[in-house]
This record gives sequence, C-alpha cells and structure tokens, in this order.
Amino acid sequence: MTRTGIRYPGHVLEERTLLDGLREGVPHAFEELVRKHAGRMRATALRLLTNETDAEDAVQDAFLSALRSLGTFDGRAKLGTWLHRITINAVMMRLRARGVRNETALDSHLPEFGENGTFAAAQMRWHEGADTPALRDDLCRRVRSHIEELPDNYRIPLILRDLDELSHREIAEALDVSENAAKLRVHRARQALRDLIEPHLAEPA
Amino acid sequence: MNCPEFRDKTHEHLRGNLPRGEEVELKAHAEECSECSDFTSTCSELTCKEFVDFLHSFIDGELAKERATVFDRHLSVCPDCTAYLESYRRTMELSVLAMTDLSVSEKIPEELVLAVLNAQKQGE
Ligand SMILES: [Zn+2]
Ligand SMILES: [Zn+2]
Repeated sequence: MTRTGIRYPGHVLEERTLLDGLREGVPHAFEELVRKHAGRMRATALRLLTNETDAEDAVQDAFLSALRSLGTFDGRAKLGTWLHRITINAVMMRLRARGVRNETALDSHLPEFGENGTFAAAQMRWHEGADTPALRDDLCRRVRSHIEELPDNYRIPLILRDLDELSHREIAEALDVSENAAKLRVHRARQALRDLIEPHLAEPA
Repeated sequence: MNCPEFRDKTHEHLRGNLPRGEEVELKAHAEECSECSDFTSTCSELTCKEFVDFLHSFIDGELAKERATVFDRHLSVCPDCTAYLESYRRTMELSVLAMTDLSVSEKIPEELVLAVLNAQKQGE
C-alpha cells in the first residue's frame, strides 16, 4: 500500500519502492538494482561489442550514468526499458571510442537486377532446415557467426533494430546519421545476412 | 500455349532469357486471354528492383495504401520476389533466434555485480 492509498500492480510497486530507495540512498537499493538488471544489460552490451571486457565496462558505465540521471527518470517507462537505453548509449560511447573499424560496403551480397529491373537470377525457396534441436543450434551458431562477419557499420544498425527494437529515428540518433541512412543500413544488413545464410537453407536445384 | 506456360515464359521474357521468336507466341496468347493480359500488365507495373528496394518499408507497413496494394499484386505474379520476401523475413527471425541467448540473461554475473558496486563506492 502506498501513502496515497492507490493500489498498483506488484511489479510497478516493486519498481517504485526500488526507485524511492535509490533516490533516498537506502542501503542495498543500488545493489538490488544491479543484481536485478546486470545480466540482461550485459547480454545487450555483449551482442553489440562482441567482447566480454568491453561489454562489462559498458554495463558499469551504464549503471553509474543511471545513478547520475535518476532525477530525469519519470517512471513512465519501465525501469528495465530505461536501463536498456542507457546501456545502448554506453555501448555507443565505447564503439565511438574504439574508433571506426571494419567499415566496408556489402555490394557483393546484395541482389543483382537486369536492365529492366528483374532479378538477374531466379530466387530459390528456402527449406525449413532445422528440424531437430541439434540442427537448430547448429543453424543458430552459423547465423551468429555470419552476423559477426558483417562490417560494424551494418552489424550495429541490424542489432539495434531487430534485437534491441529501436526505431529508425533512435538508430539514426545513436549513429549520428540521417533517418533514411539508418533505414538503408538496416535493410542492406538484412539483405547481406540473407545472402550469407542462403547456402545453408536454399533448396538444392 | 497454355496459361501456366504463358506465365513462365513471361518471367523468362522479363529476365531477358526468352529465345527470339517466342515473343510472338506470348503476344498471341495475351491477345485472346484477358487473364494473361492482366498478368502481363501487373508484371510491368512494378519491377523486382523497386519491390526489393522498398521491401523493408512494405514489411513495416510504412507504404501508402495504394502503393502497398501494388506490392501485394506484384507478389501475386512474381515467384522471385515471393521467395526473396520469405527468405528476408526468415533471416530476421533467425537473427533474433541466434542472438538471443537465454542463459546469458538468467545468470547473475557475480564479478560484474561486485565491480559495479566497487565503482559506485569509489565515485561517492
Ligand atoms: Zn492465358
Ligand atoms: Zn518481382
């Protein structure tokens, strides 16, 4: 029960208590926050940075930055969503700091069209591929390594869109490019990945 | 020439693979078959390149209604774009599947927790 007597669903109440505790400096409130969210934040950072040390440093940055900006959290978003965004900001800072690397074009993995705009080659139907858990794991491993093969300037937008579910506008802001450029990078990245995966799943002719 | 043959050959024609002379047969069929004549106009109202260039907007539902209808119609006559769309969607699903490692988010990384708590204490 809150002071005002309004009843909130359990998780909201729990978050409010945790937030109040953080703002009032209640001992262990911060530890509770860290224990509850560090795992997911680490997974988010690791996907983007692909290196455990960098990912854990980014999570650390994110928690400290969350503490500093507690005052700006209005409680309308869920705490987890807010921390997710802060984690991505921390990751982007690290990516910028480690400098541009592996920025290449993907032209060789994009579809080719004839003069009249038709596909230059007939497109193959894909089969289901992964019928057993073992095959599924194997396919996932291959897909993961193909994602890692993508140059950073395409890999990052792809992950931000399809895994972190950021909007094109949010991606544009994170990458400091136009919204259209962000859209195009996501699209090209998916196309290139599609092309890389195809040999594993295309129906033999 | 029957209708299925007409459709196959129209795609070959669009790819520029149809032997010369067979165009005449295509034309002749289209003149007497209104369905195939419609098929031909649908094939030429949108190119595969245009379809693929705006595929992401189509999937996101960002195209204007009329434009989306043109895209749907293109799919109904184009096996290449149908296959491409399916594999593109499948790629999106697979990347989510491949990159979502449930065991990672479930485990509490104790060393990381301690490192964060230490960093906080030092900052106080
Ligand atoms: Zn016909
Ligand atoms: Zn097409």
